[in-house]
Amino acid sequence: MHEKDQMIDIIKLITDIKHGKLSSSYDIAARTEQLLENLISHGKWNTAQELMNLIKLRLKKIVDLLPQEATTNNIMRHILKIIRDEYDAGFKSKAEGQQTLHHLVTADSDTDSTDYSKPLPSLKLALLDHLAEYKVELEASGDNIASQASEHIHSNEVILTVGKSNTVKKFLKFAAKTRKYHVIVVESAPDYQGHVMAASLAKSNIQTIVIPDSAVFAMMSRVNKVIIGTYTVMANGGLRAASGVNSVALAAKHYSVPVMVLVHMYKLSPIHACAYEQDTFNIFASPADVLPYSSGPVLNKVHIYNPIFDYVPPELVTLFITHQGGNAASYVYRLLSELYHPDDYYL
Amino acid sequence: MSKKDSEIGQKSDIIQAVIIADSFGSEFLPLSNDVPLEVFLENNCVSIHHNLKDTHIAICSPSVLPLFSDNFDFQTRDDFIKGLLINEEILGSTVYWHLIKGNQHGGAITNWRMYQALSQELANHWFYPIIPDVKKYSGCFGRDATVGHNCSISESSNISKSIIGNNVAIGKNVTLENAYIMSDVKIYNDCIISNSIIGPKSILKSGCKVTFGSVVGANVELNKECFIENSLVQSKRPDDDYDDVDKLGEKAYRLKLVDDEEEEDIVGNKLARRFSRLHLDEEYAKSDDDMLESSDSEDDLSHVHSPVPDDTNMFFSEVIDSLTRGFEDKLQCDNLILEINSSRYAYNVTLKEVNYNVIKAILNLPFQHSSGQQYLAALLRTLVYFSPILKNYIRNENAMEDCLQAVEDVAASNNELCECIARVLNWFYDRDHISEEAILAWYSKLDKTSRVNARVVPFIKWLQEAEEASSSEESE
Repeated sequence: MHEKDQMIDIIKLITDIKHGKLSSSYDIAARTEQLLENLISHGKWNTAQELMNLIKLRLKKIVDLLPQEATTNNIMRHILKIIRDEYDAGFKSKAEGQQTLHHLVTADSDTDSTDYSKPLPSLKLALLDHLAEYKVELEASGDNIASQASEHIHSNEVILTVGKSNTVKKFLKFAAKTRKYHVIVVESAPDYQGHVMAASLAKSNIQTIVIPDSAVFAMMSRVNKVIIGTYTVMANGGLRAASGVNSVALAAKHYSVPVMVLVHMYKLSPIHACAYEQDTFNIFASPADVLPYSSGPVLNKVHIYNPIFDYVPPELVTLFITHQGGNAASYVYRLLSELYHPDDYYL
Repeated sequence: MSKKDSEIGQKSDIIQAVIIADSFGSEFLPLSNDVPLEVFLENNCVSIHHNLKDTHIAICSPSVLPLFSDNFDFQTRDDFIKGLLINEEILGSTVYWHLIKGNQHGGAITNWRMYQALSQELANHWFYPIIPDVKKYSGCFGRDATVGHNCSISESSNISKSIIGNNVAIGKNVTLENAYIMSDVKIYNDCIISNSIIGPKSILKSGCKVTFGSVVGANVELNKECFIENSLVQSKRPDDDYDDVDKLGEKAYRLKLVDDEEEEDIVGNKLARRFSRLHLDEEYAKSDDDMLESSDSEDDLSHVHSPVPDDTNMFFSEVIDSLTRGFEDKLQCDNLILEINSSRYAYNVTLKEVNYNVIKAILNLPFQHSSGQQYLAALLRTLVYFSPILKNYIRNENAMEDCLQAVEDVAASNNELCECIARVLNWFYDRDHISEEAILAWYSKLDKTSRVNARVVPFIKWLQEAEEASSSEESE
C-alpha cells in the first residue's frame, strides 16, 4: 500500500507537467530531484537494489505516460548512477580503502554482475549528502552557463536566438553587463514566445530586433552567432528543439555562422531519436494557433499540424555549452557515460 | 451562426457574470434586455460580449446538487440559473464565467452528435495538452485512424476517419468509415461500418453492414450478414414502451430511431433530437437521398448548434392552424388577424412573407375538406369568409404582388387550383382585392410556357379587352 502512495507522487508530477503547471525545465528538474529525495529518505527500501527498483518503476511510468518528456527521465537515470556509485564506494572504502588505477580499469568489465542487494547502512546518508550536492549543482547550472557568456559574446556582435529560453535569456543578460551587442529574436510562430523573450531582453537595455520566422535566412548573413536553448540533446548530439530551429540551423550552416546550444546537464538524454518517427519524437499541439476554430467547416477538410519539436542533426551544432564549459557534438557520448550508467540507458 | 450567447460580465479581480442572458437564443428568454445602471455605477470596468458560445461545461459547488433534486423543474443548467436568479435565492452565491480563447478548447458531450464531434476534435489535438496517448495512423489505414492499444487489424482492411478503442480485433476486408469502435470489440471478415458507433464488447459476425448513424450498444452480438441502418441495437430486450422491436439474435434487439416530430412541438426538443444523431457527411447523405429528410446534411460537424428550424415554415403551419380553427369554429376575423400578427412577431417574419403565407394558407385550406370538383366551391366559401382578413393584408401594390405570387405557387403545385385559377383571380379582381395593373404586371413576368400560364391567358385577354373598352369609353 505504501508503494501505491509513492506512485501517486509521480502521477501528480506527470499531470503537472502535462497540464503545463511546470513550464520551465528547471522547475521540472527541481521537482523530480525533490521527489527522489523524498523517496530515498522516506521510501521503504533496505538495499540499493530495492531503491533502484522503486526508481525504475517510476521511470517506466513516466516513459509510458510522457514519452516526450526527457528531463525527469534524465534526472532519474542520473540518480540511479549516483546510487550505484555510492554503493560501490561504500563497499570499496570498507574493503580496501583507496582505489588503484588497476581497479578502475578492470572494474568496468564486471559491472553487470555487481550485486546491489547487500544491505549497506551508510548508503542512505551518503545518498542524501550526494543529492544535496546535486541539488546545488542544478540550482547553480544556469548561473554557471551564464558566466561563460563573456567568452562567447563580443562587443558589437549580432546574436540571433529563437523563441524563449530562460537559459539563453540569462546568458545574454550576463553578457550585456560588460558588452554592447545586438540581439535578433525570431518570433517563433505560432506561439510567439519570441515576443516575450524580446520584451524581457529590451528591459535589460539590450538592442533587440524581432523578426518573423520567414526572415531568418535574409538576416542570417548579418549574424555573428546563433545562440539557442533546446528541450533535449539526443545521444548522438542531435537536438530536440522548438519547431523552427532546424531551418535556423540550416541557414546558419549556409552562411557558416556558428550555432551554440546552451544545455543543462539534465537535458542530455541517452535516447536516440530522429525526425523520421514523428509520432514518437514529436507532440502536436492544438491546431487552433494555426487555423482558428472559427474558420468553420473548412476545418473538416484540412489536416492541420502544429508540431512542438524540431529535430536538428548534430552536424549543424557547433558547440554545446554546459556548466562545465564548451563541448562539441561528437563529445556528447562521453558526457553521457559520465552522467548515466550504461545499464540504465534503456529499460 | 445566428444564435450567440450574450453574457455581460463585470471585471473585478475575477470575472463575474452579473447577468447571464439567453444562452440558447430564443428558447431561453433573456432575463433582462436592459443592463441596470448599477452595473456601470458600481464597476469601473464593464465589458460586454455578444459573440460567445456556450461550451455547456459548468463547475458547481456541492450545494448545487441538492437544489436540483429539490426543484423538479430544474431540468437543465439554464433552468437552474434562471430559476435561482428569478427567485433570488442566490443569496451570496455567485455565478462566474471563464472566457476560453486562443488555443483553449472545450465542449460537453451530451449526445451522440457531440460525442462524434468532440472525438474527432480530440483525435486532431484540439484539446491539447489532453491528447490521445495512442498512435495516429495515417499511411496504411487511410486517413485519420486513431487506434488504441493491443488491437489486431488485418492489413486488407480499409479504415478512414475512425476511432478504435483498445483490444479490438478486426478481420479481413473490413471497411470502416467514420466509425467509432469501443474497446474489446470483435469484427469478423467483410463487415462494413460507416457513420456508426459500436459499443464495447460487441461482436459483429462476418458480412455485417452497419450504416447511417446506427448505434450498436454494449455486448451486442450480430449474426452473419446483418444489415443495420439508421437504428439502435441493444443486447437486452427493451422495456415495453417500445412497440416495434426487432429481434435480430440472442443478444441483439433493434429499435427504430423515433422520428415523430409532431408529438413534441417544442423547438428545443426537436433540435435535441436532431443532435442526438450522428452527423453524416454531405456526400454520404446525398447518395442516400431518400433518407435525407431526417438527416442533418446541411449542418457541419464543427457547428453543432447551427440549423435553425425554418421560422417561415413554422409561421405558415401556425397560420394554417389558426385559419382552420377560425373557419371551423366561426371565429371573428378580427381575432384571427390578431392571432396571425402575434405569430408573426413570434417567428419574426417579414411583412412580405406574412402576406404571402396568409394567402397561401387560405388557398390550401379547402384541401382539408374537399378535393377535385368541390375544391372551387369550397375555396370560394373560404374566401368569402376570410375577406376581412384579405382586406387587412392586401393593402398596397406590393401586397398584391405577394398575393399573386402565392396564387401562382399554389396553382403550380395543385391541379385543382390550376384548373380554376382564372375564376379565383376574377374573384380577387371583382372584390377589388387586386388591381388590374397588378395582375397585368404579374402576368408579364409569368413563365409563358407554364401550365398556369395557359389557364390564365383567357382571363388576361378578357381583362385587356375590358381595359380597352373602358379606355375607349373614356376617350369618347
